[in-house]
Amino acid sequence: MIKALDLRTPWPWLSLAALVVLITFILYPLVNILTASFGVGDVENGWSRLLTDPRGLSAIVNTLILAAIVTCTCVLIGVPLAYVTARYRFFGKSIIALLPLITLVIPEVISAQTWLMALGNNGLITRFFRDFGIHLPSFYGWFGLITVMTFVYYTYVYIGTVASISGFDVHLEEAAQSLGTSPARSRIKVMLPVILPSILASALLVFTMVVGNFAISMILSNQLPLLSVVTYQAAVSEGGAAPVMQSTFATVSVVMVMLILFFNRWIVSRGRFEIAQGRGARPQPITGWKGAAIGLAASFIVVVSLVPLAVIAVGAFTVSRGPVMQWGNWTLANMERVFVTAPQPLVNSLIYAGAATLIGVAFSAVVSYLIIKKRNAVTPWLDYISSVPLALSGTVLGIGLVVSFNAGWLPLTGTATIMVLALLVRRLPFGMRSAQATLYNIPNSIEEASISLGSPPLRTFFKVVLPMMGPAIASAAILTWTTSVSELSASILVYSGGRETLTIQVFRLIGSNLMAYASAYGLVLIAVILIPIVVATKVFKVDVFASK
Amino acid sequence: MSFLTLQNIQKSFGPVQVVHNFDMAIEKGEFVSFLGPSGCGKTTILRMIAGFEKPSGGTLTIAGKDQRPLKPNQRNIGMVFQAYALFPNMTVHDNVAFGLKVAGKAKAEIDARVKEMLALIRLDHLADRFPYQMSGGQQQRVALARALAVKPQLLLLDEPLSALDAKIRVSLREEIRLIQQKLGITTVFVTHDQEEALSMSDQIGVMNKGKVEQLGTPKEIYSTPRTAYVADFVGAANRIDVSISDANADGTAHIQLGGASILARNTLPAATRDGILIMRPEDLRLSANASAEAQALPGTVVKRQYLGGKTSYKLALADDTVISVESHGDNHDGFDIGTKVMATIDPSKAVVIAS
Repeated sequence: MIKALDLRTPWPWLSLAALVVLITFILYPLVNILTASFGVGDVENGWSRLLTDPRGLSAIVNTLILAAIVTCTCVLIGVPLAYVTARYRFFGKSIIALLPLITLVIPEVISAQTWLMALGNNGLITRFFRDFGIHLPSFYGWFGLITVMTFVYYTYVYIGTVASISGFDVHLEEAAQSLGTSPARSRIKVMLPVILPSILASALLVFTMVVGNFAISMILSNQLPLLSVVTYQAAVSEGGAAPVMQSTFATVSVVMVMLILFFNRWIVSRGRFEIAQGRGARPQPITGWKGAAIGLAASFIVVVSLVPLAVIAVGAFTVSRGPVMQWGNWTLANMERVFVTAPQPLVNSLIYAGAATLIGVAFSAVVSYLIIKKRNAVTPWLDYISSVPLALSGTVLGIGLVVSFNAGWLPLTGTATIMVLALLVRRLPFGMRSAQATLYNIPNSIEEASISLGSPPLRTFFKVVLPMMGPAIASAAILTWTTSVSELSASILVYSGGRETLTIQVFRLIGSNLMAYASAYGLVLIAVILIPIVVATKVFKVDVFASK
Repeated sequence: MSFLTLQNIQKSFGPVQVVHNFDMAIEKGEFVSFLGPSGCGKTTILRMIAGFEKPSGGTLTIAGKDQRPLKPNQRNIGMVFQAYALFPNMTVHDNVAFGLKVAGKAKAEIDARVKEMLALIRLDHLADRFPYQMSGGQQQRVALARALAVKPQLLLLDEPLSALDAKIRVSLREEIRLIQQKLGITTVFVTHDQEEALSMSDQIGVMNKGKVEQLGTPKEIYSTPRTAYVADFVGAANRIDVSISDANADGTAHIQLGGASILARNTLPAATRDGILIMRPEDLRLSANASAEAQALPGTVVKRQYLGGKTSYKLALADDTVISVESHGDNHDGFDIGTKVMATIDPSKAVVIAS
């Protein structure tokens, strides 16, 4: 029930303050992008310019084609892999449990880099085949984009599908069999329709991620125009003063993602079957050649997903002269650069991501508490606005921040604040989702018990509710940390000299073709992500994936 | 030969044997319940009949035909599950039509049969609903119609009522029994609820640890429990360790209890003296008479619980044995704590069984 504002308690004031913050840093930038696309000062309306810009138009078409293809390939890999892991036991299955971790740990920029180091013009595998007179097709363009994005994004389909197959009531299949259908047919006729909505939902998620993808697109598209690439290029060439074309492209991207999200919601609402949670099927062992084949195929996929880690670890200690890697010759010089000669990116990453995590988690905890437990006329808006960043690509967010805080009443360009802000806004939904999920499970009666024992509401929040949220806050903090450290697309638009983070540094080094240095920074980047996860799960027993 | 026979059926999951040497023969048209606590193996047996589990040993025939080589979809057995297991993406009509479509029936025939089935469960007006738009009781009736639509040779019910509210449970159990009798379909029903088993079944198999402890009509099970476990599981019972003084030729025996002597039915083998006396609380009658009567146990009220239509008492006998007595009728709560009373029992209602 939504109550009128009772101004004698602290909650409405907190709600209003949170609303002001969210409007300023999420809605206001978004509105600025929309208005800027219609022209700034003497600069012509971006939409009419777009219609006469063949490169811009083909970027839109290419992006849609690429997203469609990658979505299909991800479904083709993710769904069968999910099916065999949910239903069977076979050799090597435990490796597949690592999959969700891989998507979190490896930043996209690193994936793109390592695939290039393996299959690029001067890549390890490319050279290996060249020695035998076999010339592989160029990895730049469609081939590389589709390959890398598929291996980066199929896990999202895998995770979504595995959850829905594991939760699928095995009695439904048995009911179908007792009515005369064969086991295989009962899966197609009964299981598939029930899990289809979640497959589609995860496929659409992949689609939106391809549309918003920045790092892989920038590194591998080469001459092929893609939406995020032309948006970034427009942002770099226009700057923050007359941001017309970047705003136009950003608006196109926002509209695209919005349409997909509405489509997704429509599908989910159509397929909302309320299934009494039955028991999932017990995974059956498969042995013999079938088991071996499935184990091998599944392990192959996982190994390919893990290749980036290996290449980067080797590259970080390999001697190089400019762009030329001298494979087989080892050195510590690259690492020395990261820690001694040019440690600023490492320091920046730690500070910015640390600040974003602290502020983000605290803000999420309080605002989620307001949304779930202290509903008033304002709180639904807090909920809507705080989930908006989910629908925005990093590039769009970055442009929004630059356009809004370049000058004017709150000039932030060039400050560390805008770096933290970019990470904070982009990753806010992670913390919110995690905190809200836990708060739903804390019964109001617990709080009421505390208040009835004489503890005032605010004290109750800190003494009773907050400790109960502890595990969720810890897992939200780790998710926010890892995703902030690997953030690139928003921060690269707002950073200024001296404020490079590890990801920005890696991205720039790849652009200069300095792969050995890029590997060293990349390896440290992965360590910065991985160490907190390992410490949290092993030492503090935090379930990092509780909110996933 | 019986319609459904299970002979020496065994089932192990890994090292754990959950069904031991299970034998049962069920006649055509009978309604048989497997009654037992969770983990007693009753559902496992049902799933072996359906074909979802493979017996580790033994034989299983329906109408004389060995079922073991057949897959679940080849057995023509209807099954109703505890959590309904309706296909969530299909309407009521499509759920009921599912098995008929699989069997390749013509559309007109399917529609007619679905209509007939929905009329049988009185839900013909909800044919276009989806499962999530219906109550639990309605969903379970649809599940029953779906199972029956294909005219199975055998109907299996796996705790079909346990997910429902108490009131719906009672009305649906009557409805299931009526439909079963109307169609004359052989039915195996699994439950842990004694009231369901007693009210619906032709025969009840009381199960314990993978074995049938007693098979009999509801009346036999209740009034002549063969083991202390059966007496305890079906209804409440006073179980008192006793020693019979002399066994009579007519199957009765005298028992000394709490300073009195009563006559009880004796099921002990010849020459056995020690056994357990079983008396149901509702079979004992309380009176305030101080004088000794035949079949009366003198005692003192130590506890009284008013339950509306009846009152539950605890009596302490002279030797400190405490027995439960349930009193019905007018003024059933009329005995205060501390009152000296007599509890009498009909000799046919007190049974001595082997311990």
